Amino acid sequence: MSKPRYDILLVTGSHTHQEDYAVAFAADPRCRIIAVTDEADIDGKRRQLNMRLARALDIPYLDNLKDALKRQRVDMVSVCAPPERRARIAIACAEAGKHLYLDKPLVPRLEDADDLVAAVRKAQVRSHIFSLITRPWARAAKDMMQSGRLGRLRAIHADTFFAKGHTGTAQFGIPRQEEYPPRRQQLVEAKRELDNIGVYPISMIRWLTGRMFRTAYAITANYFFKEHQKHQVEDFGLLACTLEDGLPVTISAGRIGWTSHPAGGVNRLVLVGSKRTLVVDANRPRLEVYTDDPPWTPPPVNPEDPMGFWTSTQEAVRIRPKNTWVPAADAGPRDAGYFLDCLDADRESEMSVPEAALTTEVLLAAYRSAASGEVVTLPLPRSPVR
Amino acid sequence: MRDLSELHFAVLCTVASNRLGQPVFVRYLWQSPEKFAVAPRLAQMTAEVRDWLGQTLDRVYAIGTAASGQVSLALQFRGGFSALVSVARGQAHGDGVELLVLGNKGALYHDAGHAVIGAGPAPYSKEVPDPALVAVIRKALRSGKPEPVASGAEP
Repeated sequence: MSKPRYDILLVTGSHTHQEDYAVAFAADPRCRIIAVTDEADIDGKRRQLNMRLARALDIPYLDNLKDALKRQRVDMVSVCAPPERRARIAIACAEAGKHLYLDKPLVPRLEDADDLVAAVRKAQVRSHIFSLITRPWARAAKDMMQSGRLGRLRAIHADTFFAKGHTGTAQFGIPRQEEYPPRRQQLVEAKRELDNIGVYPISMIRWLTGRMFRTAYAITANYFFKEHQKHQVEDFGLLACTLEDGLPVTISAGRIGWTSHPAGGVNRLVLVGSKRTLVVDANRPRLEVYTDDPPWTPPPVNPEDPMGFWTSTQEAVRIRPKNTWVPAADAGPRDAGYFLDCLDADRESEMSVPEAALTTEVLLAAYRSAASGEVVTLPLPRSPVR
Repeated sequence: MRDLSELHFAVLCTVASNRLGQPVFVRYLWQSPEKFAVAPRLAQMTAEVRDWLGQTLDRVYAIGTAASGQVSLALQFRGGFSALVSVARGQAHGDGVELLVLGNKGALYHDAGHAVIGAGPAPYSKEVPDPALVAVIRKALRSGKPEPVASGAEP
């Protein structure tokens, strides 16, 4: 077996998606994970969680990112810091000449996105943001579009919902007043779900069509969870957009509760073409299996993660897999492996920082629209003096 | 299924059973290769959605064009519930209906694959559309901005 050729540094540890990304990198013979690190001034809880993942992987924890970037031989950094800290960490890593593997969504502010794009370009490092573009259903959809079998694309309708969390606790009758720019992204109990989940269909539509979003009208809401309502972050969002040349696009996204779907959630895309319509469903092809097994029931609430964001917190409450729907197709290559393929071939990822920044802009346009109740035109205006 | 009134009735019964809890969001896409009057069809669909959600329609925003046969409405209801209602002229799968109703305690799904095997696009019922809804949809299509709904849109 050949020696690993990519030494990887992990920024942040447990209770982030790093739990999953680390497993993916560790399973790839091209990689060696050398340490977990983070910014020096993080709080004690985050430090403990970082050290927990380091222990689980049997690697050291380095408590100062700046020193780690200097001291260690590092080819790539996997960054799963919360969105609020992600930009400055990713910029520091890029400036140190490290390739970037970043959790989604990219960053919460337009200035952050622009700065990160500039840093990546200046440093000439490769970058990739976690997405679903490596999934076989996504590749098949793109192949079909490029084959011309759909004809001219005339409309796109996409729905992405995560079936997690104990729902039915939001209070109705409290009008949601959206804020722009959004100040909170990710808390222990709740995330901004238009941002967190809506990022998937938006980036997928960008990737499939290669077209720019030109207008966005959005509504955000609190339909399901008291936790989101308490922190004034939405659990649901919808968009009605147009792409360049006026192509209409609708998107709905959010978190709808453990029992609202027989699998992990809805992930569908309807591509209306002049010759035919293509329905892309992440849950197809599938088997449906009904037996005398006890019916699936949601796990108890883990107070450290009531919405079921992280793998370890769900294992801690012994979540049972949903197995009524059985995938009848291979899951396809891992997202991490795709980026390693890009590095091997010295080519840009199809979901690089500059590409993901376009999705960030659409999301910000959506929040601006939801806050104002008006249609927002893209690209968003930039401050002339910074 | 003779026409979509049977499907609509099944949805209404499910909603009325409270199995979904309070319905909060509807995604309703209807597709047909035949020519149809866009605004009246959207008004019919909007009226169904309004009945399922049980709230007064407050604002309508439209994208697409009637000429292209591709129009989507973002509907906002007075109590905060919402919907995406779309028509698409084109070759449909099955009955041409993609329907999702989210309640605060459950969800209802119907997609083209749930239709009668071998069925073509389901015809719409011949009920006369609410003229007030037709008017506001046409206005939203013309203006390209969210339009308030003044009256005639009670559930």
